[in-house]
Amino acid sequence: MSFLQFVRERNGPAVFGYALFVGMLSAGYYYNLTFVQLGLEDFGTGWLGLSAQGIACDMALFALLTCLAALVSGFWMQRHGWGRRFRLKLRLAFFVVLAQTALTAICPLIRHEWLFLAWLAAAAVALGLGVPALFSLAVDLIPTRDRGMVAGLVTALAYFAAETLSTSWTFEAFRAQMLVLTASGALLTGMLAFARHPWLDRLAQQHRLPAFGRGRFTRRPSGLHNRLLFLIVAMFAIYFIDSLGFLRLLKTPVYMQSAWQSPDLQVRLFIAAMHVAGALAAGILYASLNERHLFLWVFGIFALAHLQYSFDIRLGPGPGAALSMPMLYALAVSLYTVLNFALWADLSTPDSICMRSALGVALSGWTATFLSTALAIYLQGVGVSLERHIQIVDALALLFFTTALTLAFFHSTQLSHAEATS
Amino acid sequence: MKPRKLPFLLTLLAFFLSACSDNGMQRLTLVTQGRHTLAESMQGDLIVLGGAVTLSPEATLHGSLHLLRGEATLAGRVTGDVSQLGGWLVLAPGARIEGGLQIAGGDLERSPFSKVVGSVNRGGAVLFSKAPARSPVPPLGRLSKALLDSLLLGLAAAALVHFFPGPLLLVAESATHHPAVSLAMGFLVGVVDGSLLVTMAYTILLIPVALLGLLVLGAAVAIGWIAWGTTLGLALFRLLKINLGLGWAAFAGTVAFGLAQAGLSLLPYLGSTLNLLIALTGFGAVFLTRFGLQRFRPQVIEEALT
Repeated sequence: MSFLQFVRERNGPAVFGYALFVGMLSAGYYYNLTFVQLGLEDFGTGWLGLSAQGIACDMALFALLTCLAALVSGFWMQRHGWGRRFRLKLRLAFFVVLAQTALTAICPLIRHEWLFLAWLAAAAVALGLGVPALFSLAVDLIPTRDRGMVAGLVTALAYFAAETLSTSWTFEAFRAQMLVLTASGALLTGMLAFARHPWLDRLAQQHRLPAFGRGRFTRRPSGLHNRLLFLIVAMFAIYFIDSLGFLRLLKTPVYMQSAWQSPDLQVRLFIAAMHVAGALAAGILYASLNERHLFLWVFGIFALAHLQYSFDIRLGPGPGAALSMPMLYALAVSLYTVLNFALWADLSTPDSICMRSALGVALSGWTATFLSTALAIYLQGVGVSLERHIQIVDALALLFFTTALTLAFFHSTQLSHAEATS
Repeated sequence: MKPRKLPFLLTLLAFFLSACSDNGMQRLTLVTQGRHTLAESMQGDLIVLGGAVTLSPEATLHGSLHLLRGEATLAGRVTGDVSQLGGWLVLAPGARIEGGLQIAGGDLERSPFSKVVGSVNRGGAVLFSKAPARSPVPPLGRLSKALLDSLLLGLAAAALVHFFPGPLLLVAESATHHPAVSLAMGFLVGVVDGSLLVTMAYTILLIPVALLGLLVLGAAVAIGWIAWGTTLGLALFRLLKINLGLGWAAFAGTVAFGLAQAGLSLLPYLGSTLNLLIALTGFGAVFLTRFGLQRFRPQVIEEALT
């Protein structure tokens, strides 16, 4: 079963399911990319007058709370069998979006750091609950065959919007955008969550079909836990490298002004186009190649990008920076984001999707963010230079690339040996 | 490798290298540090990796200028293209660039009295022509050139298919049966390897390796084109019920493919985009099949029966 097949059969509910999933996840990720990861830092330093170290500590704590909230939510949902309850998950998503709308609206009322911490705690709960609720909709709405392409589409839309619509990385600009987005999202999900419609009833039954409910990697149950563990570790490594590197580049105006925050629209469009092309390429390759290939590409590209940055820094400050560095960065980020959106559902069935997606996203994404933020604060605190910082990130990327290559080599040797002896 | 294949490969290598320039010799000047003023004409391409270069008003650079880092001040004439990845480029009054100007990074200071004859492109590594490329060659000349290029490529195709039929057919199969995967792979390899080669060139010591890498990538592009051409030739022969063998199919198909590409390139925007996509697909197919050494088998996402 695939999207084209549904279109040919004029299967309206199934096609609507695709649109719903893509819309919800890309909007949610856009919110996370812009308002949460960029806007809150500006809010903390610009509005509350917190120091850079202070806001970094608060954000690290936020990441930790979100991780915990996701794990608890995932466990709770799995224990009560909510992975099979499409309507309930839709209602959870509605409450998450409603909470985010309210939190975004009341943000300017915060005047003290302790209030900000309370706000962060509430946002962490909402975000943490949103992870298993939204990710688990994959078993209801997207057949296994198309998960790679859909993940590519979600990634492409979110990053394209983030790069082209976010002209000013300020709290006010992001808040204004997000209020419109979350309010309309709350209205839409509310209607879908509580209305009765035959299409929604059809969607609620789709998880029973093997084409939807059985993830790609669950066909052969042996080794599934090892695979889950390997993928969590690999995704953690990727998030850690990306976050550790980007946190420092974010503080370097010449690299931001010549790329992601360039006043030249063509530059931002170029980076957006790289994100889109990378996401679509990853979506296509995810379905056709072993996922290890994509991990190798991600580690390799990060290693190359950081090597270029370290060359650029070592040669001394120039009047501008080459576009090849953010180009590679955008490519690597798109590749791993596609993996993040596709993998957890493919490792699961409706009974296990809630916990597995929570484990995957929380342990890899949020934990890595927490640890890398803490490490970045420490490195800056002890006076590590930009060049040294980037070299450390580069070394880590190369180390993981080499490790992944070695594991892939031995795994393929094992497979060849098994085929030869069978 | 069989001994009889080696002379062929060397001939093919010489063939591709001979296509690099009119007289078979290529000159390259590299500037890495210091301040240099070119007061007289200079032959060959100029790559600036550091330092500062000034082209005097009376000087002419008979080649292209590539600015990666450092400064370049142009007051004279450049007969080729100018591309800027970083650094500081100054086009002084009286500067004249006969080719195009590609700005992918760095800072540009351009006098309104400077002249760029070709197109000016900003911000990307991929060029999309706004108009058919200007050329002093008349249409008949362009057609003759396209025909000659296609014939030469066709000959290379016939030779390649004679010595390596299996690998070429595997590449063709990957490009035609799995075009999306091949295109995705071609895009990734093209972007990443291109950046890798530039990074190698930065080290100076690895410039020969970078050039070798460029040769390998160029060979992959050519093999991709030949694979498409062979597929086209086989399809045409099947349609016309001609049975002349694989070699003739590869030759005829590649010639037809080359001419079709030349025709497509006349279409503004769409033509170069299509050519790029086709080239990337063939290029990706080469890497998916490891230069034709193994058949590409995509992962099958089975659907459970229950």
